[in-house]
Amino acid sequence: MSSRSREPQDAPLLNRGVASRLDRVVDSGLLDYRSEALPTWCPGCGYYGITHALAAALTERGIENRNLVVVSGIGCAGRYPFFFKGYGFHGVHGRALPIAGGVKIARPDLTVLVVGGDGDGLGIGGGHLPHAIRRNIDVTYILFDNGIYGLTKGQSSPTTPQGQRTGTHPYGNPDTPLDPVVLGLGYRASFLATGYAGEPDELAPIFARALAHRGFSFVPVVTPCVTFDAVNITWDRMREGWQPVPADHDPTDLTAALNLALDENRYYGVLYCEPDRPTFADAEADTAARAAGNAP
Amino acid sequence: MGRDEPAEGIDVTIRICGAAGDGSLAAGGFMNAAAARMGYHIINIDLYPAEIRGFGKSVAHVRISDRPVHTPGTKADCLVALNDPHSITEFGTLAEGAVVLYDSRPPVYWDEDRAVAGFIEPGMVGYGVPLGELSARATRSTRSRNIVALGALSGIFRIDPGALKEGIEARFGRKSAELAAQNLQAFDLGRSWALENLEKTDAIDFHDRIPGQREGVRVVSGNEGAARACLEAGVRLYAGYPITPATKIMEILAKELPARGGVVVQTEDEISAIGHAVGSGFAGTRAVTATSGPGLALMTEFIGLAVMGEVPVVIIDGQRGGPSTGLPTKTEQSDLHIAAFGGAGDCPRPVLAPADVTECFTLTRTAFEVAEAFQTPVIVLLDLFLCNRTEDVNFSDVDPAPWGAWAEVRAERHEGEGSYRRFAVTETGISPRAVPGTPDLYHAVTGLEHNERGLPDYTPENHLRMTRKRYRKMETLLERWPEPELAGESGRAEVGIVSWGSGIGAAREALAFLQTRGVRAAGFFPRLVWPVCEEALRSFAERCERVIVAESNYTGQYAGLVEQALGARVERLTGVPAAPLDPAAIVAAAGGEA
Amino acid sequence: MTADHYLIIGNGVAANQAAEVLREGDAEGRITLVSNEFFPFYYRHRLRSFVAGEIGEDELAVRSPDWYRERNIRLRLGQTVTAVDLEKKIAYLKHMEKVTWTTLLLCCGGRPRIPEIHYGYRQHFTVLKGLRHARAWRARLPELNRILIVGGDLISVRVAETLLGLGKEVLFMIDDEAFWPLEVTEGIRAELAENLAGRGAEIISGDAVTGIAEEGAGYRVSTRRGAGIVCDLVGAFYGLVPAVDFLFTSGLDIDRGILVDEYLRAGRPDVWAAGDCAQVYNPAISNYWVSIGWENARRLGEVAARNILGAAETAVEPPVNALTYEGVTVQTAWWKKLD
Repeated sequence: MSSRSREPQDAPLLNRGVASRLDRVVDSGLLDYRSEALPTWCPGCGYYGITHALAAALTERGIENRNLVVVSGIGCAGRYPFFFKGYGFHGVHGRALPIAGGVKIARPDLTVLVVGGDGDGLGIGGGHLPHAIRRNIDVTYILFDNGIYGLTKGQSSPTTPQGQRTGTHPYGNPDTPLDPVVLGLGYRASFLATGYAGEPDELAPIFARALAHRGFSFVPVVTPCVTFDAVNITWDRMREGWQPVPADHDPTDLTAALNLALDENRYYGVLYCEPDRPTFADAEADTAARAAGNAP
Repeated sequence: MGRDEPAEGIDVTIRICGAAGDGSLAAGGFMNAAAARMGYHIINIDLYPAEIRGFGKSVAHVRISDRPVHTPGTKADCLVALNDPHSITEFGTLAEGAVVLYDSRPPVYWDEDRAVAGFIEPGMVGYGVPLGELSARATRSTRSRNIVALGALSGIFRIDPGALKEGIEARFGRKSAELAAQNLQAFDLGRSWALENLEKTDAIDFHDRIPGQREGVRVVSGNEGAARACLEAGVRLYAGYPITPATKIMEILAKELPARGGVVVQTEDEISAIGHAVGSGFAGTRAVTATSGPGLALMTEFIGLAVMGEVPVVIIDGQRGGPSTGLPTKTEQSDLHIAAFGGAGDCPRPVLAPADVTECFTLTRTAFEVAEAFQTPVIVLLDLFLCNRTEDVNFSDVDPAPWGAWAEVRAERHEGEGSYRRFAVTETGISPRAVPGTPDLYHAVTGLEHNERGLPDYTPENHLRMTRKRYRKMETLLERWPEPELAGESGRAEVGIVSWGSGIGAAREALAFLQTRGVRAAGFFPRLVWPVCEEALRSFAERCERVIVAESNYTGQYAGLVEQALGARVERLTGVPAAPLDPAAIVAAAGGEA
Repeated sequence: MTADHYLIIGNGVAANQAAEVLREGDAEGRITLVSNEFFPFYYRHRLRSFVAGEIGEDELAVRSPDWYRERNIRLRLGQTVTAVDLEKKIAYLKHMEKVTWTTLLLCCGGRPRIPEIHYGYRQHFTVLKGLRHARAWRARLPELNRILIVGGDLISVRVAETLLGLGKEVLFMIDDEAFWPLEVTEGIRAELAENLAGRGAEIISGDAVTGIAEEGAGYRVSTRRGAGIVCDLVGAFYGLVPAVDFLFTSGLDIDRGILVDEYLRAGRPDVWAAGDCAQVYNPAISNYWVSIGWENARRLGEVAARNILGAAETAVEPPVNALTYEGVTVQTAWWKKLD
């Protein structure tokens, strides 16, 4: 549900408008994945759009609630598990990937969704990302990249542009920002797609493909923090430079994907996909077979 | 400490010392295995060189007895010198009247003070055997001097050679029949040379006796015991990071788990390891990680998360010298504080400490059940000494559940009104737990303080209620846990000795010694070291004139907990000798003459 | 820290006296005593009380291990020197260790002498020199009743007295060669015989052993006169000969013992000898004499050490032709170079 549009203060008209919209939403099935808890994000936060897209993707994939596990770290995205009707683990800062890995390894029958911000995923959690990718564990990791630490009220993050003034860099951030898309490709993720919060309808199919991919799906999504970032990622600026991934792009071509990532334009869609790379589960089965072969 | 074994008894400690490559540890291994098969009890520790390559000193320390033993002993009755300069440094470990077996015909003369025989003093018994020459005769190299020495020992000490030779044949036979034959010949040459040429003037005599063939007995280390516990507990995931002295557990499970439907993940760091284990626990399967002090320090945040989220997980900590990187190859018992209290906030969780190798198996096994029954991380404290030392264990004789059976409370369906309350406050503190995959019982686990439904709630009333609940679980555990072991004097005692972990073995020997000296001494040996069994402690302290708490750390970490429980001071026997607790030190503290 | 190493071969009274004096004179040099016996320096004259069971081993030791530790004197006990290289100044030990010295002092003492004519049956003789033998005597004594003592050197007299005191039957055969290298006058011999006979010994004089054979648990001894003497043990007391076999190939001048000048130098720089193993030159007689007895050995050890430290003392104090030993004055015999 987007909170961007405001209903008029006309009460009867309000009820009628809301009620009809509510019916549409209920019919869509999106609510099936939402718990009763209301999100705590600021009005205008990009997370609402992402959540909408995610719910749509889950609907499309037909994931059962009881098999859904949402794992988060600390940040505004941290509360995600509470907003979903399923099982969740709101872990400690930066450690969502290990927890998610543990869940999926224990119960390969579950659908594991990992969410977290850029601080959570590239700062404190930065050391876990390459190894989760190396293991190719079949989870979907959506990284909410808003270029700032929002929950703690506006400090620099690993993706804050150089020079931007923030709470901890009142004279401008001196550090070079990381680019999660380049990192993900550099780490050889078996699936990498990007998008931005401005187009939830474009995001939903991306998420669906990410969920469908057998292996580690890494989806950094650019999203604004309307409260603490007035200059970098804004609703207006977000639309600048975003284009769909060219139709002739071969997603199995890593070099091409990197070129897209390094391009001054931003591309939403699937940049890279290796559908047949053995997953962690495949390797486990392989190991078990070899171990059984060696057993006396 | 003098030994008061009866004239018939066998209690012999042998140290086989060589440079890396001399096969001293292999020889110790053969001795252990043979002694165990013959029906003796053994405790063995291997001392490795500090460097990976080179010719550093490596010593196999083997204690063989016809009665169960609890410590490796500090003094050796026999030194087998496979390398003279290294062996010279071992003389401080020799008991009075010790036997020194050395190579009487090295290829060249030793420089002054490099020959071990030059340091043999009156009272010691020196046996020179041409180890190198006999080895060359059998295998055309000097690499079998260790086997020759074993043969010589079997002759001198009248050890029946059968089990030794079986072990040698089996080990070398794996590589080739020829190698096995050569090494058997080396053994025989050593044995016959000793019998023909040496006049026996020492007192060690096995009388060629075999106390009783023990089928199914194996020589097992603490790490192996703990690993076996994980296997028998049906662990689904072992996630871990290599660290001395726990790495062996991971390596054993990496070999054994895959065939049993489990998997081992070597993670990028300890935080990822505990994270994986907690995730698995949350998902409803058994998961474990093993580490040492530095790793446990990294894991404290996740321990807090597991306590707050009431997620079961087992952490094995092989304690070593600390703090920080500390002494990676030396034993210590200084992680009790961090195991019981490490992490932010009031964060209760059970801490177990096995006393010997068999308990490394049984207690770790129980840890999985306790973790699930009480929905909590459980830390099992081993130490480097326990991890690495070997004892004779017959698993078919071992009581699989000496600490009772513990059932977990699962929620399989929705009962009652409203949403499922994952953290419902109950009388025991334990809430029925649903795991992912269960219909309807949706909830999220969080590190934030939360209400019964698991939603974040920071109100003071809620926080108190939930904190109390988490501590109530520990009280319930304490109520149901077996009484701590009491040893020695059952009535009024002059001195009471409290110890935990591997210290219990030393305390047991000290206790036995004190009793032979007519001292009324009692022992208190808990395996659940946190929460502290206050009631039992108080009854114990009440009947002892003095209470001494013996442990291998500097500040007396358990002693502090004991004092807290008693509301009174106790005597502390503390120290960081980078070696196992010495029974003689306990005896001295108790006022006895060692 | 000096590099001096005083290596003393021996652990008897000469060796220990020398070590004491050396340490007093040189606080830093290394001092090592090497002996092939395990037991520390003991009172030789107490051995017979030990054999008799009157005292224990702990009362035999002259010094405690602490005495050596306090003076930083290294004891290598139970270690045997098999050879020395005087050029390289290295002593080779039986267990294959080599020890270098800057000064070598030989106090090897003596070993029991069996005259050559008895070599054919020497294995049946039982000697008493040193703790090893004493332990064996002490252990066997309860089973021994009738003991033949041949030779009759100074020690044998005391041993015979001890055995008689224990109620044993003692036959005492005084051999012409007994007091070698001393000459024994007829008068001395008679005095000794009377002394022993008075205590109950059976004295056999004017006879000599010609053969020993095992008989049952004991022996049958044949003599010049033909009598077959049956006994449980034949004790041989023919005096001592210097225990210097391992030095024969070293290049030192050795006759029976190590030849040294009146200052106890062995003709090589930094090599000295003292005690029972040495033959000391006496300029007054242009010949060598041997020392007998504890006090002489002690004195020689003292002189050697002082001279090592730089003094120039001589060791020719005892009177030229008389020696008092335990109350018995005997004539000394001078020993020619060729024997």
